[in-house]
Amino acid sequence: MTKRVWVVIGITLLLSACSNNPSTDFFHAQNDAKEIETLEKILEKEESTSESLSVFFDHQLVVAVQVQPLSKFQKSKIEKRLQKKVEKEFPNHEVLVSSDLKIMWELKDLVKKDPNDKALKKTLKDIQALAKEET
Amino acid sequence: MDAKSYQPIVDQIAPKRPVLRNCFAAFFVGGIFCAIGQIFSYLYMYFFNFTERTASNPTVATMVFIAMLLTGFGLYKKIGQFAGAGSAVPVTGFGNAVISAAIEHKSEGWVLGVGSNMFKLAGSVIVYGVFSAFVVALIKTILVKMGVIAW
Repeated sequence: MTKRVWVVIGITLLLSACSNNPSTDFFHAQNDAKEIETLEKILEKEESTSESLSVFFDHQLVVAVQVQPLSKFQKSKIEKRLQKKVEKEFPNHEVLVSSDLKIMWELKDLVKKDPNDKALKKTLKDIQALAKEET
Repeated sequence: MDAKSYQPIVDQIAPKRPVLRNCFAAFFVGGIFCAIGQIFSYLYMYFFNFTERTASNPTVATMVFIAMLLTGFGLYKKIGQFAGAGSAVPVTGFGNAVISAAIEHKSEGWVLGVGSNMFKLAGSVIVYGVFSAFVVALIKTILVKMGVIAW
């Protein structure tokens, strides 16, 4: 009896983990719906990501994505591919796509605070510098 | 009695090694070490300005430091007795190898005892670590050049 329960739980967990659509969140300082829609189309196509958060501000665009656990080995490849795609769609923006968890946390923090333009600019700059750190 | 006829007698008399049990113990204890390391990694990312990539260095240092403390207090050998390879293979085993050698040779003096013997066992870890890193890097370079994986 208990064995059957475990099997059912296991299958449910397995299936629910596989069929998740990526959740996408956006924050735009100028509320440009068109730009958000363009980006959403790119991010929704990427099935190996589970979560994403994008912040637009004055020709800067930072996209944080979380890769599905089974695709973690391809993380940098996915990151590069997304970076190229986003750069192609937003040639006037300084684009940064990162799959790092820290960048995701920092962006979430930033959006939660709902900062003014000055703070937004500084934090985005800090995040971009952080993402470039190698050691 | 030659070596050939000696070996079957040894096999007969020697107690059987619980290989499967050892494997499970090593797997779980090694996994617990790694989980603790992951927690430290997240702590460094959460409270300091470390990214996933850069948090690995302080995490390794912390884990080695904790293993060194445990070795000094005599707790690591108890873990090692239970877990075997599970406590030796992760980076914590490196800290244990350094400190246990230092403790063992303390009576021979600071320079010729502790100083020269500290890396007696850990030295081989460094040598083969560097060598295997070289081999892995070579394989990865080839795979990247062939376009199988990305950096």
